[in-house]
Amino acid sequence: MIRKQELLKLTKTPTIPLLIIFFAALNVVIVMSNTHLKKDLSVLTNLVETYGYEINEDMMKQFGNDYQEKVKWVNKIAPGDDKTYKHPSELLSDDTVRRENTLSDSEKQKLLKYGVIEQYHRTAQNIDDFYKNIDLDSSAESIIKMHGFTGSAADEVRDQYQTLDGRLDELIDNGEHKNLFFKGSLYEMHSFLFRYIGMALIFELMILVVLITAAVTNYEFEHRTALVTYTARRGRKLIIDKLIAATIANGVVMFALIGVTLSAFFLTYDYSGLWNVPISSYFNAEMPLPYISWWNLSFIEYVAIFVLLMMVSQLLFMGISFMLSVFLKNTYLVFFAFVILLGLGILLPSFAPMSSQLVFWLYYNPFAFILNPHLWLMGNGPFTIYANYEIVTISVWVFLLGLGVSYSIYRFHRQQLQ
Amino acid sequence: MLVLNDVTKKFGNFTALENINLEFNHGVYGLLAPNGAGKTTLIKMLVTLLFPTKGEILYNGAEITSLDEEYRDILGYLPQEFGYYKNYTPEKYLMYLAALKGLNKKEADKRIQELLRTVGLEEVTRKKMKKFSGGMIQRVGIAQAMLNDPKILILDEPTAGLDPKERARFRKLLTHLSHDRIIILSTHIVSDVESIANEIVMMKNNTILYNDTVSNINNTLAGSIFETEVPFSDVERFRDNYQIISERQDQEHMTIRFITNDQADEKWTSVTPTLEDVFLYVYEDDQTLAGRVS
Repeated sequence: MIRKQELLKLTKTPTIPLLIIFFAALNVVIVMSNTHLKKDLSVLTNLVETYGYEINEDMMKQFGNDYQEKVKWVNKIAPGDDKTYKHPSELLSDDTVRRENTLSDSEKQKLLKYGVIEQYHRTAQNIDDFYKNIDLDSSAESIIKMHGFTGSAADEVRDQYQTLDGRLDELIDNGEHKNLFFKGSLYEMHSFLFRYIGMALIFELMILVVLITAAVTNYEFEHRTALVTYTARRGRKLIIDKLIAATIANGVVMFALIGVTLSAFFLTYDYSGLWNVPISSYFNAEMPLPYISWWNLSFIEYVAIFVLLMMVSQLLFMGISFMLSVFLKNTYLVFFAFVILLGLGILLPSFAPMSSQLVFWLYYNPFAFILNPHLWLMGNGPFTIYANYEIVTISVWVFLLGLGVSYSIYRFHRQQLQ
Repeated sequence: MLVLNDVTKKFGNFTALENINLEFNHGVYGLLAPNGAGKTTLIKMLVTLLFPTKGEILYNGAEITSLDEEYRDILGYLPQEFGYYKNYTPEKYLMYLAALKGLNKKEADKRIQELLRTVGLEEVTRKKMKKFSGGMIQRVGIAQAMLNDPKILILDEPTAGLDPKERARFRKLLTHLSHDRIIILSTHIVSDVESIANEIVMMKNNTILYNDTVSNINNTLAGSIFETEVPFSDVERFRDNYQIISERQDQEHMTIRFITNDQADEKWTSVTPTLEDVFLYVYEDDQTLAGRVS
């Protein structure tokens, strides 16, 4: 009854339901911003439907044969007999074809589609060579030079890239890289989902979590009912009911917003046949250095862990907001104080000397943690490259905030309520 | 029995209450003092919102803070500023507070209907409180304080916002309730407690000045209160010489009630002191009262 009432109070706070609707609508708009890629992306899902996603000899043979058929068709529709095209892209880039406009619309569409298939075929052929040439030692040196690491910090970067090299060998042995996936260098679907949509979700949820937690916790002080409620039999234990109510409300909001956003995403972009593709597939690469996850994770496993980390990080923000609420007793002050902490958490690591290991330690905070969600569990980026970065950050802060929240409840029982 | 032993309350360097010793048994206790005398601080300590800097508050021999839920279970409290959820109906708000007071839904339902009838709000049980007048809100506050049928009922300025009829009804209700419980009624309005309080606690300079029955307190001024008729032309001079308690303007003269220990003049009529006389005499130098006396 008490917790239900605490939850019902939120529905009387119009800002929160309105924000949820606004954020959900905003996320749908962000999701829709890449719909122009849908046609190209469907080429890959069709390829996977035909050949499967695993790149092996048999698959490449069949894929190669079919590709040659496509090249034959390209030469058939090409104007004039004097020139032979080895790939669809050659015809696509031929100025004569463009000038003379001899191709019908359906031929042009088919040619474009074959151009996309060509990209996948060529990339699939070059994977082994590419991975043979990855030199993580020189990557480490470039990173050290780029960020200006010196001394023990530079050694730490070298060590971590060395460890990553071991994982790269394992990844190659497992063949995790040799799987078809949306071509990252063309469509950047990993960044789109886990960085842009992910970041939007994280910051939207952060705003909601801080507001909900502060609103529930401070409700009696902001409605001048604290003198009556905290002198009832339940007394100051009511703060525990409020914490539980805030956790439930935040959980529901997280499920709702994440649910709406990811449903919109996966209903718009067809990932059928790709759920089990390893996240470290070479095709996923968007930068010169491909994504190297510390564990062999499929796309769907990565999505699940991503959602989990996103939700746990929100629980950390809830803990911080709750502590601030117990001492500040005003939603706007809590929000303002939280923004300051957020700024500190993000900026503090940049003040650390690049020669000391401190620079890495300062990144183990919940605010720095959420800055590059698309790199979670990946061996990318010098500051958070550690395999255990996510689990250590989460565990340490769950422990610290658990203590902090318990202390706040203890303090609240002894606070003078005016 | 509720007992305060040497209770002192400080806020930083400011001492709000010093060495307060009080005992409350069954009956109505009027906590009488002007605003700012420390009544609310004392009450907030009695309801566990504030904690004494020094001393102890005991209920039946045990510290009220260590009794925790057991103590609050027998406590009813109406704060000076009674807050409410403006979008709630009194029924819904009382239901929430009943849950906080440990009542189950069935007994809460029955008790809420009973109490809303008692305070004369049975017609508006399902109307949002944002449409209520100050008096109606205060009546909701009185109802919530009695939800758990408390053995200790503490009311801080409960008659604020009530009209005379409502005040009379409220006093009747308190008299009815006072047989088997402690009622502590804090007020700066003498008439609220004069007729119903078994004992009056008067506070001055952060400590207890009187803690006695109304008649005993009144007797402290016995033989010192007079009334006389003074021509308008002499009023100023009279005011300079005597401590005036009240003045009433009649057609040809001013009827003045005053206090003095001088030999009685034949034109003066000795009158029986009232609690109002004591109150005005005691707080004569109090800034809050200055406007009322002069």
